[in-house]
Amino acid sequence: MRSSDRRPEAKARIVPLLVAFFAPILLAWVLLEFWTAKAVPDSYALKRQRLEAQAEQVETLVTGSSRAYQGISPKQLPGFAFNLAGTSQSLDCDYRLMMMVLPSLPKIRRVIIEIQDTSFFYQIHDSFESWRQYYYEQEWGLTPLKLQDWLDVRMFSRVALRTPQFYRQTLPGAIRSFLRGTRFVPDPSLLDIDDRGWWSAVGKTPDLTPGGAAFALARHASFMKTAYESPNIAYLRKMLSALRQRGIDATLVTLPVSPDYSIGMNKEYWARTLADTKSIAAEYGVRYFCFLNVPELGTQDFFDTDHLNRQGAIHFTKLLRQALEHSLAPDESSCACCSR
Amino acid sequence: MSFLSAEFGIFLALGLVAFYLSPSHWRPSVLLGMSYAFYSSWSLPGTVLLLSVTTGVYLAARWIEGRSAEHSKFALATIAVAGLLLVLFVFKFGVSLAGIFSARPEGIAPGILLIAPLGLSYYLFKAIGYLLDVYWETMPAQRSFVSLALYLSFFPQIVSGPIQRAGDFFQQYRELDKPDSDEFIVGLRRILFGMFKKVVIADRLGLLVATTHSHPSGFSSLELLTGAYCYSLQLYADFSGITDIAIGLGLLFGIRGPENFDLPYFASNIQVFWRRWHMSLTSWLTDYLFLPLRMSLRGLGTVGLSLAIMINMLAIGLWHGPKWTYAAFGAINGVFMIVSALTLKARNKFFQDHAPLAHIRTWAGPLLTFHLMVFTHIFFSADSLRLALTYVVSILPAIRRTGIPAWRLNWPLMGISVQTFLALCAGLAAMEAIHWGAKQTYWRGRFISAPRLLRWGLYYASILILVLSIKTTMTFIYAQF
Amino acid sequence: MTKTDIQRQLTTVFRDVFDDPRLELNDSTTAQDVENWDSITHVDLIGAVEKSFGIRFTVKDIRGLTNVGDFIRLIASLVK
Repeated sequence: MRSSDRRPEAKARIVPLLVAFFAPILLAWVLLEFWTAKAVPDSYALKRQRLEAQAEQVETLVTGSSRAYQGISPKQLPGFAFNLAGTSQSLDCDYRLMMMVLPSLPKIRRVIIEIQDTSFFYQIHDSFESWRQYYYEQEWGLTPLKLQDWLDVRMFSRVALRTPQFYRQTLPGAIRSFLRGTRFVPDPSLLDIDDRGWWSAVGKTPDLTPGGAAFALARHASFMKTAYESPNIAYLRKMLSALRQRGIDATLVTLPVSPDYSIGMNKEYWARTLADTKSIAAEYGVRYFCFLNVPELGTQDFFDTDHLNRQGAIHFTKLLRQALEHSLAPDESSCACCSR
Repeated sequence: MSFLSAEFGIFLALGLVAFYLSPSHWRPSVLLGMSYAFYSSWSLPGTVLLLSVTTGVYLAARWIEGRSAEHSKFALATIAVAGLLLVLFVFKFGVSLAGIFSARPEGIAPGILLIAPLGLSYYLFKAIGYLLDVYWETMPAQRSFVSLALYLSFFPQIVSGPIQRAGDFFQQYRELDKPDSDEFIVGLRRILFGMFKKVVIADRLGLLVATTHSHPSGFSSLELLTGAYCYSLQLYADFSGITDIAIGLGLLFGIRGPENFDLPYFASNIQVFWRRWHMSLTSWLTDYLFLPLRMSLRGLGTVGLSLAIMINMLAIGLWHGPKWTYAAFGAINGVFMIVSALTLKARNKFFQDHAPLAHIRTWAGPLLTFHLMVFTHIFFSADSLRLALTYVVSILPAIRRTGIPAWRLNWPLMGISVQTFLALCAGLAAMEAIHWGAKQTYWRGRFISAPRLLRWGLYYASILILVLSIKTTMTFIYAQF
Repeated sequence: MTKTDIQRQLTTVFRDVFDDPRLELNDSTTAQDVENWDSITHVDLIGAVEKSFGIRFTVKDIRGLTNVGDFIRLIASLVK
């Protein structure tokens, strides 16, 4: 008997078998998706919910990357402020996110845009934290810039975005909490995000050694590319024109880093960034406050070599507020802004 | 697309639907389309290279067959094979040469040409084998371009082999229109088993291996020895895992690829080992390099044999890449092989004359062979010869200079807990038991006739353990070759 | 030479190369059936057969061999 004679019934037999086998797996995945969406919050969902809840009141908005996310405490800023910065959030994200939320903020008067040494040279989809772009896509609807990034199951799957390691760590805890009837907190660090979107870290022993700075610098250098310079500057310009059109005050700010980091920064790239930022600021008539080196901040204020901790952020934001209210730029003669 | 990615799963599901819904004469083209889509997801210039090589090989084979005069056949075959070897050489060895001449500033991604294309070693070897088979008239040149293109680009085998022979492939190709549903299920089981080996066993072993190999001076002799054992076991689990996935994927479409492993670490001597490890490569080299070489050197007796063996083993080593460590790996194996081959008759006679000692041979042989291979693997895995030698020297307790006691076993320092290590040992034992049982008709029958619920329960448990063990960065050791 | 003659002479060579005085050959014997017949001893065998029959093989000749029957036919075609 030729095998092709068996084929019709063999094929008919195997398809229901496969369906029966894979159906429970698919069901388990779908259930996990629902559970994750409902019971496992992330920082992006939290920020979006909190912004929406207070949208009527927001007068000041902050955009930028993790330095601003950790380093600017909204309650110390003038007006009702919200921190919309995020880890590895690059200028393309800042622009698109800002344009998305502006219409829902009736009282918005000023936007603070963070510019740092990496700002012009990277975009989130091409860094080693490129997976974060899918959080922006799932929570905010910011679709990926690169076409091939669309072909990824993380466009819609929260489970895939979380990774199996995450579930290995959290599922036992979740099951325990469920059995005890207590509330389950999957990621304790989420508790450090305040209601204005600011994430403050405390209690970590910072590695403020030159080695720590070198490590951070090397990591940043690994995803900095000159190809992104013009597109990112274009995004900045688009942000500033949009704000000018709406009569919203824009301010550019560079946040403090530790002395070791400042010394190790790529001088050429920083010189270019500085020159470009100053000329754009002049062109659009906006203020630029460069707080790269702040003598008043000491080792007790830093979370690591290029991020502030809770008390450092509060301290710094007070300085920023003074600068904003009195239009006092940091003293350039004392090398506030140079890479030593 | 990595085999272990969600995108590949979707690609595979869609491809299977397309394959089985198409009329039978379209199926080869559907598979070819899938293979090229898969390859171009890695690199477009690489795809152009693959297509060009395929076209060249197709034409060369037709021409060789077309010629009647022996000397023109020989000339064409030589030029074609030399051309393919040149491509291989340029991409494998040219990379390191280019590295010497360029001083790359930071932040600039290397051009495509500096990275060896995916599967280059695999498809070029397939091509060379095919050409030589046509030249030696063991098979006709393919008339259908699609069939040859599919042979060279077949996506389950292009990432890390196995290297299937042209004759074997084309015979199954002719029967692509008669798929077997039992084969399909066997394929799925194979894929699950392979993924389990890779993700649960090999990657976990890899943690211990990475820590011990990164700075040997910080570990004791026993810890380094454990690290060396675990590397050999990791290599085995990793590579046999991806072979299983490759063979399983092929079976889903009705193509059964050749096996690569046959319980190699139970081989009684090193000659037997090399007939059981990476079999598709070693048998290829035996048929297309060693035998012709040996034939032409047979007038030189023992010297000729030794030379042929050494060249063959060096080829195995250097096939993996242009590194001194790979050459050392090949050379050391060559020495072992030569000694084994030249003394085999004497050893056999010795054990015939001393029958009671024959019992010892049954377990001492594999044990010794395993240790010889662990030794050569130290060179295989090291970044440089100096590091390899450092590692070897650090194992020897007599030569230690640091204050670490030789017999210490500090598990957390090695990057793994005792429980995990014991679980891994159990896993390895189970893995080998399955390897052995799969070859026995009796155990296969027992498994198939076990109640479906039991079998499915086993599969679900494996999938659960597998999914929970996945770490986000995954690479196959053998996909870089 | 007749086929039987060739087979008899070949058996002598096999017994000598593989050190097995009781080895028997038939048309369908392959490498799997004889202990220690691997790629290394294969060429020893070829060399011994060449010497015994006074002939010379090419690589192409050897490639097509699948069993002893093929081998006998090949030898018959080369022996004048």
